[in-house]
Amino acid sequence: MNQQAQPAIERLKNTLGGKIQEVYEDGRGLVVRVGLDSVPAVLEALRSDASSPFDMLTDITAVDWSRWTEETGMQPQARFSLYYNLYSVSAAVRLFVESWLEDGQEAPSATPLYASANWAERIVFDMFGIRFSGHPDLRRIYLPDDFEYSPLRKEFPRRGVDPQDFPQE
Amino acid sequence: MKEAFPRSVECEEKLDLCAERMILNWGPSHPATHGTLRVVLTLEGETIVKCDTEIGYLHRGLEKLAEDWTYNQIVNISDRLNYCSVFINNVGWHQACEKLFGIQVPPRATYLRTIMSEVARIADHMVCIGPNCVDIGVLTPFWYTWNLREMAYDLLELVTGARMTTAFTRVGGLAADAPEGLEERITKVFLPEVYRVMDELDSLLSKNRIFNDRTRGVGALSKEEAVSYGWTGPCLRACGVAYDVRAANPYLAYGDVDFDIPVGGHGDTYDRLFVRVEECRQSARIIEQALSKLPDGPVNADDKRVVLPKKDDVYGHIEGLIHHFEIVMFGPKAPAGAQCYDSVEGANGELGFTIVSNGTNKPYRMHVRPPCFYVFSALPRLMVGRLLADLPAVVASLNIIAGELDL
Repeated sequence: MNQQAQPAIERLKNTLGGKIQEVYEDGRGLVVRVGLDSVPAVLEALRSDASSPFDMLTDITAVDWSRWTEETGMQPQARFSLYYNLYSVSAAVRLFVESWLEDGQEAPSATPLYASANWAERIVFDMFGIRFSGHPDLRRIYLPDDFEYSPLRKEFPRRGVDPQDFPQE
Repeated sequence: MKEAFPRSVECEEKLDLCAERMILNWGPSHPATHGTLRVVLTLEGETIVKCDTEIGYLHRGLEKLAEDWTYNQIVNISDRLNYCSVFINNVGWHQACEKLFGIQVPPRATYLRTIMSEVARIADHMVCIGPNCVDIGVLTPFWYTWNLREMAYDLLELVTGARMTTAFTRVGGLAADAPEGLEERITKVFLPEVYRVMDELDSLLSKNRIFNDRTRGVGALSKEEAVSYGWTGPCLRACGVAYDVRAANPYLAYGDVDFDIPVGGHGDTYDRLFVRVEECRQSARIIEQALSKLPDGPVNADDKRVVLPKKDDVYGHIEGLIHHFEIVMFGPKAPAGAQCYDSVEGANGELGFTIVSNGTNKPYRMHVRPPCFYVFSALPRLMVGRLLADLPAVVASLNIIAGELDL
């Protein structure tokens, strides 16, 4: 499966070569690392790829790397990373687009390109507090609107917050 | 003639139902939602003009929980995703783990996983079709489907000891081998019943005028939109896209068996139901073939890092005892810095697991890609402009399982 994504990456390098920081392979398959601002351009180029159009944005997820150095001794590139899980239904090829960002930085929304990005970005916003600029309806999706925390950030305690911390009605 | 109770002009206006929009709350605890989800509808007469969804009533923070549980414990989290086809979730989780650990599962475990996944898929499809028919006023198919679901759950109970929360897979294989007589029970009792019930459903529903009127053209979505919304599974295939993880990226024993991918043509409620009916027949074919090829041998990988030692070793040697306790108390450790994504074809579509490992016995980050979530996100698109009575039919045909909708 991994080799199949290679031609699409070559074509991407030809058109948007300057925007690609790194291409590497791991347990997920081929991952393309790009700058935060060039995510929409790269997604659009991949979506309209000639032989394997990545027409399905299967998933968006983020990872909080703030405890990574403490736990593994390795140095992350920034506080958060975003992963766009792209799939080409016609060519059966999967590809990941990765982008790193610091706390407080806004990511560009992929909702104009993929309808599935709408709710996927709302989860990331809800769980990590990462804001997406240009999102049509950026609200919390699982948690109540007056919940003050981003639970999947590493500093949020695993046993939850004290109920007394909640704003009283 | 003089009216007995003359109405004011204001009152006349209010009686004109189309002139005033009504807000109707549906859920979060309503029998026809089949789970905890809330839909707020703005109605003009009986026509839906706006549809807002609210989810999160079953949010349990499973991804956060997983950061504090070991790789073998998290199988219990996967039990709580789609609770109608739990075995597939178990397989999905541990398949991703095995990719992370770099472990090859022995063939017998692979085949048993395939067989039980398909049994779970049949049970899930029955849970979808039966109540969906009840929701739109066709009660009879429910008894056939529920009976078959019961038989599927009996099989799951026979193999795993539990009906719903099976938690049967382990890193590197299964918790136990299949019991005696499983093959006979499946081939002689279960499979003939699957084919019989599918034929019954065909004859009860496909020419039923009321059923056709209530489902044909209701909640239809085009191919392109379905792909853009991230739809997978039977709902996507009903739209005419033949994407099935089992065929696109054959895992387990799906590469060794022969099966078709049923697709619909219109992407409406009718197609979604009948794609599921046909899928049950294909699942039965897969089970038949997998049973005939079921190899002998161990059900756990021969890998000391992850699998419990033999009981003789545990009771007879101190090393074996220590090894046993290491695995039970701490669990296997994944390589540091490894990341992986793996997906299986769940009953509702692509169920993917992303794992980031920090080298300990617990994942640094675990993420689930739930199929229901993306299917449900298109509900406003399906419902605006339709009648209120179509809502239960469409929601049920999407097979929204709240456990998978809210992680």
